[in-house]
Amino acid sequence: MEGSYEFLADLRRLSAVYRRLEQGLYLLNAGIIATLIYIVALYLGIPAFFRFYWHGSLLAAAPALTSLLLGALGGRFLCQRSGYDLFAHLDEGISEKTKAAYDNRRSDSVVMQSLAEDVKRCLSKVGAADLLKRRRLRFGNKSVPTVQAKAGALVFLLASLAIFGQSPGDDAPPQPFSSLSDLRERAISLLGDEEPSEEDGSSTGISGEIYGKPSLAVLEEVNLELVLYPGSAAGIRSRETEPMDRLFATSEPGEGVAVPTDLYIESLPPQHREVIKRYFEKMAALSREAPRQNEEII
Amino acid sequence: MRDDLINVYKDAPAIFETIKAEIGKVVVGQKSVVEQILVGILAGGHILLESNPGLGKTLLVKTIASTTGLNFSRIQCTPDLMPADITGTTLIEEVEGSKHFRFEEGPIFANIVLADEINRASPRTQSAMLEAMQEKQVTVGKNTYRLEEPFFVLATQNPIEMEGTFPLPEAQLDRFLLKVFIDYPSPEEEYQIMERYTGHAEPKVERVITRRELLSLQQLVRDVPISDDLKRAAIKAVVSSRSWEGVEYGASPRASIGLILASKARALLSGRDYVDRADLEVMARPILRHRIILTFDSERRGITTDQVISEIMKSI
Repeated sequence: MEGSYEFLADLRRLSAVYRRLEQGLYLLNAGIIATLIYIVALYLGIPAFFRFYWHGSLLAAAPALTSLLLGALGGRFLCQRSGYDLFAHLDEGISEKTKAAYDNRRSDSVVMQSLAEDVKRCLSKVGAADLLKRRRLRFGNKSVPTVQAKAGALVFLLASLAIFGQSPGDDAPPQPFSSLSDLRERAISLLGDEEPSEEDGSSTGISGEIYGKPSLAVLEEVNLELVLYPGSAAGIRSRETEPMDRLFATSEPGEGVAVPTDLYIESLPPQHREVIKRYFEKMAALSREAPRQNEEII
Repeated sequence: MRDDLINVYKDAPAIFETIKAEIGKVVVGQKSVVEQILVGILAGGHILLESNPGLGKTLLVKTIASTTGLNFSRIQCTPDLMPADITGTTLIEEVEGSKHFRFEEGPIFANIVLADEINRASPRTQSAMLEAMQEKQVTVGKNTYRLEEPFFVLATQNPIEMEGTFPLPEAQLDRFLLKVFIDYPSPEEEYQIMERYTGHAEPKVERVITRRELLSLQQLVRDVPISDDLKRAAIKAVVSSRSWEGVEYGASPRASIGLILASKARALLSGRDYVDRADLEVMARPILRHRIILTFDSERRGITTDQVISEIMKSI
């Protein structure tokens, strides 16, 4: 800053303060943008995907590095968009006169000398806090100091990231299946949380075996496609891949006709015979117990 | 000289207040008009006053001339007014038996010239004032005469009664720094005017500023600092006027100079030692309104130059 006026020294001091403020804002902007991008990436499962496939290599950290790079670029863009102008961050009362004095610092006219003294008086009272106060974010009619608002936003985002990052199995790679029985145990624990007995599956209602390739299981004669998501870590989502073949004898509605048991069983589809037989046995047992209980009540 | 300037600069706020107070003795209200005329005088520019009849244009100019104590002359313009009636003429004079030519100065040889109803003078006579207004000199025959500083032409014109008038050509309009509109006074102001001018004694004003002080103030005006941003804004406003929608012809570079100078004068008059954006915005209308010519379509739709100027100033 050329010129011999004393206000130029104050302007130099404020320039240094303003530069630090701009650098701080740049870091805050970059931090906010990088954290936001990383949170979105986490939601999409991108970091877990990278860790799963490139575990142990630098590529595993690519999402984090990319977020930082984009944050830095975004911060630079925001700083350039808002412009670097110390005068705009001075109070309205002294902004224009300081600008006029600075632009005419080589003049030694009577008016300029008077202005220079006035500007020096004004600038000597301006501190870093005043510059911080002037830099505000506007939300309609209300405004908040930019630095505090951005610092608050960054803290909030980092806290969210910390909480989100600790959710169970969020971005942890899925445990490799050691065997098909391991897969079966996991599926059973998800469905019933009980270990089925080998002899009788009636307690859990599961008597079928899980077999086949890891991505396809057959449970009680239903084909289930098991979809594993490395990022979500929700474990397993199953869906029916083909309709069950249900075969029942059709008959006209009307009075029931007694049919010999053996004949009836012969008429059933072989795959359902056992189930229907057990059903009738249980019904018969219940019908035997019911009249006895009624007699006791009477 | 510098000490003079320092003293005048220190006294400037008091001088301006006294001038305003003296004018206020005669002219009721019209504060912004008085301010604009003082701005024009401080900037050393010519002023065109326009209003309906009976609003005190001539009285205002005479009062301002009285407060400054400068030489004042009045030209009542009529269609038969000749250029020599303004500039002066060369007479043959006989002194002690010998004859020689003597230049008889016209009314233009004054510090403040009131050209009343200037649009009633013929174009030939109007253009006789061109050289005086721009060059501040008068050429008669082979001789050129310098006009004494300060020199202002304050012309008045009436926007109605256009019959028998000769609208000023654009080249001549451009020589006026400001075009000031005088509006009707408010009912309260009109009551005061009635009270003041229906009594026995009419108010008198005193001279409150010397020619030397006025010249110093004019010099100080040019020293008022203005930021580069505002200079660029003034240029942008003038340049925008040339390509603005609904404008046939925009303002010339003389308007940029005038806008900066008038803004500086307004700043000094307001007791500020720097030009503010408000100075630029306030002075844009009187500086640009006679330099912008609207298209026929804009005039048909009732758009005024002031509306266009407001839009231009909003856009910069």
